[in-house]
Amino acid sequence: MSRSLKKGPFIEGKLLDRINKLNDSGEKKIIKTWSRSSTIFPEMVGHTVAVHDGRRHVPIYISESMVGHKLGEFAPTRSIRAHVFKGKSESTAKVK
Amino acid sequence: MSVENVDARLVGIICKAHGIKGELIVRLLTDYPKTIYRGSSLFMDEGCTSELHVESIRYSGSGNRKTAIIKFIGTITRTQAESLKGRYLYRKPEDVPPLEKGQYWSDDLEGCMVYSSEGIALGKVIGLENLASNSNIKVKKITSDIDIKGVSGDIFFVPLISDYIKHIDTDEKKIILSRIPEFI
Repeated sequence: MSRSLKKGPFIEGKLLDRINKLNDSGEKKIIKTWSRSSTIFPEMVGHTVAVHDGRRHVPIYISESMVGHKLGEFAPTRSIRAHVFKGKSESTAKVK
Repeated sequence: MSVENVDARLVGIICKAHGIKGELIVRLLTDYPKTIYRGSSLFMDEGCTSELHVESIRYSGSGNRKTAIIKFIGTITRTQAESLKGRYLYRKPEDVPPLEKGQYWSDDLEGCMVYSSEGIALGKVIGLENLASNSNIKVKKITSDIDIKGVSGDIFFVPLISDYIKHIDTDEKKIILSRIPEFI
């Protein structure tokens, strides 16, 4: 059953307050949160939120395409165990 | 070309034979699977001495389990295909697709020293995690005296975002942060 439209999307109050405070001051800091069920609001775009995955806080950079999703969707709670392969692999990482 | 000079990159691992015509199921370990096509040269060793030519390739699987069914020229029976089981497949550096600006090989980032913008050594990269949103480097503090706000323990994460990363030099194994990530 979907959430009532009257209530609007859920976000933890404290998290939204912190985002608004950072937006007002223009500062960039990583906000720690345990609230995986909070919806990503447009105000959060450009900020980095460290979402708890049950063990640690994983920094997640919020981009425009993530608005409307939940924070927990971007911090997986299960790690994939795989064999360590010999040699240099062709996996890459990009600075956004 | 001497064997020592080859900087081959791992493309995949041969899992098992497929069918009776010499096809192989290969688990792909590359971010560029579509750059392997008919006629591509792959090697079974890091020195790039034992060459294989791709006769046909088709892709299957998704997400973290990307696989391809590859047939190499000269491998025509299942017995021949089974003899290749468990072998690694490499590609010569000149055949590897070029990186975009701001893109780095994950292996090159591991082991880099991380410095603050003032030149203070903070730690060493011990791992990298690729998430759907961004990549993070896992840094182990060089000494426990280094105090980072909101970080308890010896390990902290730095998101690979231009807000935090000033400069990366993979040759010198050096990462300079524009600011130290503070957790509030």
